[in-house]
Amino acid sequence: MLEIVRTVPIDYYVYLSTILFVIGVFGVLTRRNAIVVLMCVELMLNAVNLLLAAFSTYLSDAQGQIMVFFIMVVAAAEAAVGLGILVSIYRNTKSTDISFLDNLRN
Amino acid sequence: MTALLILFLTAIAVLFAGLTKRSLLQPLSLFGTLLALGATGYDLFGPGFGWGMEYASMFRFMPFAHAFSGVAILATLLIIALSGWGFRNLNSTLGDHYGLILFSLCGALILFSFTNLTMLFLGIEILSIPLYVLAGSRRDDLSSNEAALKYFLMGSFATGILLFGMALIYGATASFDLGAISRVIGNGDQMPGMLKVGILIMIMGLSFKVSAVPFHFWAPDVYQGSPNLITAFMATVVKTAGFAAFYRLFAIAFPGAEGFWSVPVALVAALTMTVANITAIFQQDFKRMMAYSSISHAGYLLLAVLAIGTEGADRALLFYTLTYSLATICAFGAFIIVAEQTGNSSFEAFNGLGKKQPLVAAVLTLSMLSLAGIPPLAGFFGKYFLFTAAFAKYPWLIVLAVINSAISIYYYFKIIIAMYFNREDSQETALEIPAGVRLAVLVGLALIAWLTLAPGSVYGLI
Repeated sequence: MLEIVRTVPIDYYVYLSTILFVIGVFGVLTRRNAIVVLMCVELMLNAVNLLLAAFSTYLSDAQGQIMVFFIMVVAAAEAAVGLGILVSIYRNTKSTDISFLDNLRN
Repeated sequence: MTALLILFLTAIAVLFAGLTKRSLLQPLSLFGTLLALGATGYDLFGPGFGWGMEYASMFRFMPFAHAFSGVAILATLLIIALSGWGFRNLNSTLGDHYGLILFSLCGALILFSFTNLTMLFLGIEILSIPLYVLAGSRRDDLSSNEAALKYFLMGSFATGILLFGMALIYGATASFDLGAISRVIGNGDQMPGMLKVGILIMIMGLSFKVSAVPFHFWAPDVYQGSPNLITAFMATVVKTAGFAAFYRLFAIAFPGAEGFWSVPVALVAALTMTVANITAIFQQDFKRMMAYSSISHAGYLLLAVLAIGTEGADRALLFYTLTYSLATICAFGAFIIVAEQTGNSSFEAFNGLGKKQPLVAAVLTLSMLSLAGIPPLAGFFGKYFLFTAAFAKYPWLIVLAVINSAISIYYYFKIIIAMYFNREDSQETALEIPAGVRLAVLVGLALIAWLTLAPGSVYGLI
């Protein structure tokens, strides 16, 4: 298994995760629907997970994979809280579009 | 670690007490935080408990951690004491409020003591996730919803950025342990590119968390929309925890790479101070003004990170966070009283307060003066210690910081002028202030006075 993973050089994993991460960042900064933004944040976190798992395999070190589990747990907790906040907003505005939310800036 | 356990158990007890006995909640939370403060004091001043000082190289409670825990627990204690009034309209969710505040404080304690990047990540999340909920705790209020969503989206975005930096650092150094990373970096002359990018990305992620310019844009909206007490918590405990974590990470893991990261951090600090102070001048709303004020203090606090390696940088950080937290809580305590009375958070709400409620006005005046750093007050010593610590490395930045402090006097004085020189329009009678709120504000004021008279008593702690 280790050999199969290592047939692809580590650089490629770094490039792939960076591309996924940047797609996530662009999604967060440009999309207007809060649910899509939430999905883009998850994409960022999963890009990190991929990178950690790849490093962990290449370095033959388990710490990276343990970190992946922590990130998954926290991402689940965050998604639960985030969707809860979204539900309370949807009850008030009947929309999940974040461009409606500009009543604070005076 | 004793304090951490006490706070965690109190939080669980409070959550369960919220189901049945709501009148017990505030006393129980106060008792738990006081106990935790006592335990921290015993570790710091007394012989200490001698157990649980470190756990599996994940965290280590040194005097640094104890002293900062003391600051955060004290700030939370004062906020809980103020909450008897601020939270009185909540019914079914009151227990959740106290519980979440205490859980968030547990995250702050982890951030004061971590020795592993895993714990940095978990600490930041334990600190932040309860706050996302608390920011949106007024569910029917659209501005509270908006604050919660913005805080949540920007917070998780920042977490993603921070984690990407951590992953790159792990790839370059093969460890999450701060000491091991520091050994791999050595004196920093042979750093792989991945490590450099990782450090830069971590600076970005942490700047988001501590709301430093140019990653600050979420902070004013979140501070304005959140309930007043939660804003006070964010401005004090979260800021203290964020900066202690920032300092710890760079002092333990990356001291060798200082030549590489100090210029970007210095630029962020310079931008933060200048942009925040100039924007604060144009604000008409107290909470928004305090948000920009808190961003500008983030700029000064970054000087402590820059001064890493200089004798007294950690002490200056400790003293500054303590004076800043106390002054901010006193200001918010006074503001809560004013907001209850007028239902308004703009500067006009403060008109004529000096006549109507001299005590509240005096508290607010002193805390504004301390935040501005007017010489005899504690805030001045905070700035003095911080600026002298960083002066040897970045003289131009200190000049900029002093100019910025002078600018900040303008907007802090706007409130004082409104209280004492502007006439009020309405003729409402003064509201009766509950004893708990009065006590909390006076204790905060007494502590500021004590720090003013004897700054060395805290400065010499660590």
